[in-house]
Amino acid sequence: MTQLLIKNGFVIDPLNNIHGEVVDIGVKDGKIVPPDDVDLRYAKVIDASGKLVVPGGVDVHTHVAGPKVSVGRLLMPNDHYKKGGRVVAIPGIKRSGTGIAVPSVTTIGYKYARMGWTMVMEAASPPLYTRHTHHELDDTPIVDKGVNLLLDSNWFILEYIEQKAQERVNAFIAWILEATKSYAVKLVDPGSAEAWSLGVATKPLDVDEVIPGTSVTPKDILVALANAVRDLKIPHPIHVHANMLGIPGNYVSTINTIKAVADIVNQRGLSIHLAHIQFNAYKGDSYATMTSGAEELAKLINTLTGVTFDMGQVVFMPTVTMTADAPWEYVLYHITKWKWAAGDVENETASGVVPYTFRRHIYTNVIQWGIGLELALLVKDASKVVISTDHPNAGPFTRYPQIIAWLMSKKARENEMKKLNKRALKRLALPAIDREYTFEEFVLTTRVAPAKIIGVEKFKGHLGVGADADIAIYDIDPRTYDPSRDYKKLVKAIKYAAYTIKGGEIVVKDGKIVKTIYGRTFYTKTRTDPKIMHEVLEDIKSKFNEWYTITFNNYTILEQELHKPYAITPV
Amino acid sequence: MATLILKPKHEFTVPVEVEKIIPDNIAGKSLDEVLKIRVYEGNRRRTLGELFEVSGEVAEKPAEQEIIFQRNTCRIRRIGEEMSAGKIIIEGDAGPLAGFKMKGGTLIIKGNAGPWLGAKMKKGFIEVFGDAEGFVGSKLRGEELYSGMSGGMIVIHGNAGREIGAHMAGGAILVEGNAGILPGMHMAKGEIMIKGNCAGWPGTHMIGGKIIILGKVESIAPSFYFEAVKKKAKFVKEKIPGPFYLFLGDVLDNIAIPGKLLISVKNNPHLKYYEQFVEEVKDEWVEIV
Amino acid sequence: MKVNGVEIEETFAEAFPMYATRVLITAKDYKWAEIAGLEATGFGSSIIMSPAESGIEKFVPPEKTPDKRPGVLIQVFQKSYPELRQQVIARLSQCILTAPTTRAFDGLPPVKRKMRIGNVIAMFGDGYQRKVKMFGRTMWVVPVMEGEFMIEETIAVIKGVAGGNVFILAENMDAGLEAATRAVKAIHKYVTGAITPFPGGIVRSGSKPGSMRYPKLIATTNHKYCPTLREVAPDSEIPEGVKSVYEIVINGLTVKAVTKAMGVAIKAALKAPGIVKITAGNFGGKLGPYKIYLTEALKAVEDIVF
Ligand SMILES: [Zn+2]
Repeated sequence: MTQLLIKNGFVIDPLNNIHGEVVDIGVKDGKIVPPDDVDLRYAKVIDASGKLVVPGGVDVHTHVAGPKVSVGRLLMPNDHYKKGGRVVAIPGIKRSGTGIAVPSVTTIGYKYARMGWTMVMEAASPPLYTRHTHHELDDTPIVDKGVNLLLDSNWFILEYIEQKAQERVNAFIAWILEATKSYAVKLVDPGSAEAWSLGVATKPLDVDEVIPGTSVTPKDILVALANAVRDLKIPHPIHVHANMLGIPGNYVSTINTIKAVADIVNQRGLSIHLAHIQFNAYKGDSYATMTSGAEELAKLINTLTGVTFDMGQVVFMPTVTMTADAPWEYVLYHITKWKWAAGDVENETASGVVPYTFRRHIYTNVIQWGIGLELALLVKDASKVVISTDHPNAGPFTRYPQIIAWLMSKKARENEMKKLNKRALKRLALPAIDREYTFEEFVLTTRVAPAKIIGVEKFKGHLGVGADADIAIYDIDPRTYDPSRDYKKLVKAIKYAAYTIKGGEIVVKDGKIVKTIYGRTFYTKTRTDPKIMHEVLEDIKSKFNEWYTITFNNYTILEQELHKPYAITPV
Repeated sequence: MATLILKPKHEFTVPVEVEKIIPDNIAGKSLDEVLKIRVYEGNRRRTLGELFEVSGEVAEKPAEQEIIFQRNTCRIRRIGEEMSAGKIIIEGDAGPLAGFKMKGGTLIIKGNAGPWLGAKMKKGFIEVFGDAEGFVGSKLRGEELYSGMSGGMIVIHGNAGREIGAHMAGGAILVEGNAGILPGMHMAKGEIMIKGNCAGWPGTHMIGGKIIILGKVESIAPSFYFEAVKKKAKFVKEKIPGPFYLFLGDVLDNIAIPGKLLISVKNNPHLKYYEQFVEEVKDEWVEIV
Repeated sequence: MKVNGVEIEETFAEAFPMYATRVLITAKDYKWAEIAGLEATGFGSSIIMSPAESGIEKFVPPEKTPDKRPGVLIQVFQKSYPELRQQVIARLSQCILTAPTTRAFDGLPPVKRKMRIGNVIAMFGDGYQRKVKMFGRTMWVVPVMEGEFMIEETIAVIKGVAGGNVFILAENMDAGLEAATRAVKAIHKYVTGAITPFPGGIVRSGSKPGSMRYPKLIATTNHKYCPTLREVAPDSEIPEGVKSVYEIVINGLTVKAVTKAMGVAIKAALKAPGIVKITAGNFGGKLGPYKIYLTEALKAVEDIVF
């Protein structure tokens, strides 16, 4: 295996208490080793003097694989022939692809790697179609990946919650995570997909509303799944796209969601991860009067240690929204009146895909833009914040460098604000916020926090000995360079990393792909009471015959179906 | 007018993209520079000189430049893309997307034209002496509504394929032969005249504009309603003698300001049924029932 | 031309074809027929902003209606066929279906072009509706809380005539209003097939198409006939001594009906004191296919004496 020695780099590694020092880093057999262990006769030496050396980036919430992403591509041919219809070839590789908002599968991995990101989590996969998700993830180069499984509207779980059989919920989740080779539990607008699929609800449900046809409320689902995650010691806390997403006044629902599960803390002190919180922080009673609920939410999150979130930051460009929140997409389609695809996944969940363009002159869009940044800047501890655009819902992940610039430079925000709807800016707190992220906070929000949330902080998100050798080297020197002034340089440096090292291999050099490798797919293998597991399995098998279009045996994804599966077993 | 003649050096087996070979790009350059303009052969980058035998001269201004494609040209696509002046003549067949986003000038195709001829065209003139395939003057797949051709004129002396003028927002298309199904689909503005027959459903989802059909129309979408019998119609200021059945629609998309469908009375006896609706109201009918 | 010392200008009213329909509404007595008719023709003044132009044409005595009950004829006008159908469905379902004791019949049975309205409204019956042959018509019977509502399956649609008008120029407001009121009354009394869609049949704010100042406005005040602008507007057409102008707008099923209505209106207005001049509005004859001259209108009603 390749050995590397990264010399003279300016290293920021908060987990190992390196807050900006010149440290040499050794790499051997895909792991980080003490520099002395590197045999210089065989090692390649990277001179990183004047450069920033940080762990590889981790994306905790992004939609990069699975059926709805494919539907997004089908629905948006116009996204795939922009720039005159030419194929977007990534320099340095032979394979090519197209698309800006929903790029082709292969290019996703390359685009992440070019920015220095080395791990991504597919945010929502319906269990029945997770085989499809894995096929696409297996074709996504370079990055490590994992799947968050949609479980909130699953008929089995709803039934077990109705029976108040928590241990059965646990057993079912243990089974389905392993059966679909998935990593974490995802809730999307808990219960709404079920209500919508039945045709009885035409709008998303609130936290305390009873789901029609059952006696369960979204709150019950939240609590049951949070308990299951705690009991099974699943590394990632429940990953929640909260109720009432996109609807003005929904910050109250978000607060209720947080309060419902704040006490259910997992083994690592976390209780809930709120996905793309920007969409759930709206105040006001209509889109015309919508304002930011960021302050209230930030105040609450500052007092709780177990709550984390990702931004879902809006960038102004045409994009495609895709979510398992089918009722919300139904509402959005009636706002945009252009295209819409809706899907119903038997017994499990639903989904919708609607193209949307965020525009600088539209009041609501500017408020949305402000909320994401306000939340990131008002929450004091940057290790609770993760940068995301909820790719591709609020914009593609390729715009992360721009978002980082907005966080690290007030001037960048001010320059953007010059182009925005003035009426909206007057109603935002953002123009008065002076905080600028430091380089350490940049590392916290893009590396450490996501790794901790996912529960892989032992081997990701830091550069200590024994960690995976996933390293990003950017061509900026924090000792001499002030991002708040010349933010454009920062954007460029992060957009095209000087080096990206994945698993000990140099995959990107000067923004160009130099090597194609494939990362692992993480999944969770938990254990539960075998007696209850047996009961639940009998129940599942009998209901599969009755309700599913495929048989129980075909449903289970075998380990050999994945290229590089990697099981995480909680201890 | 200075003429530049391009002859393929070998038979193309894959699509060749020549979107840069337009008068705007060529005029004012030396012949050597012209030979270095990049073109694509399949996924390979080539220069014009590698693929074509180039002869003739280069003009000072785009408006004085004429480009002639000779020999086997059917695999050449995107001819005249975004050209704004001058003239391009294709002596054989043209591939897809000829005159795409054209902004002015003249494009003449002596053979047949591929699909998406003059798609999203803004201005200028296209003449095809052979047949054209579908989607003449339309928009590309998946784009916004009504973002097709917005100006200029396309004349096809032969037949045209399906969905011509889809999402058209201006300009005019004249087909002297027959046309396929769904001409003027989602049309918002502009004019289409088909001198031959139409395979069916003209103007489906149209919200404006005009379609004149002189031949037979197999069927009309049920979301059109009959308005009147007109003695004559007008196509780009020219009077076309009728009579015509005038239908308005498409009611599904817009009931207030509908598009017009003018269909020849002579060649469409199966539409005679509608004539009963043009009756005058007799005064005695008005007397109390 | 001068009649009784009042000048009648040598001009014409310019009228347009417009999709029209006539519905006969019958009820237990005249009172309920009128209420239903008024409700169904509400907010029907001008197509500029109203969803349709509509009005009550006439009361029909019981012996002339299919179900031998007193009735009222209403007319609805719209620019296009689908919009008219939408309006008729909306008005019949919201105003007639709901009104006590009413039934709705086609008001122009001989016309061949029909809109299917009855079966749509009958869906209110939620599956309990049924189709019957009754009163010589095809009727839908809808069970309602009162008992049963009946509506004819199809209702005729024709190209009617809209835009007939008469301007009454008077010495003062009272004289003008008196003359206009008499004119509208006479139309209802002597003419079949015409309606006056505006409030009480009278328009006090006649309009011209477009605006000289605000490009987006479809219609603005007819400044030529505003008495207070006599000195201000250079193209004012108000003769001396005129302090008030009223317009009577007439829509009808045929040109003849509109012509007759205009004639009757002029004749009735002339009977009132304090009238200076009678004229009509047009756009120079370029837009509308129908030109109805005031003199012709008067000739058409020569034999009506009142
Ligand atoms: Zn998401």
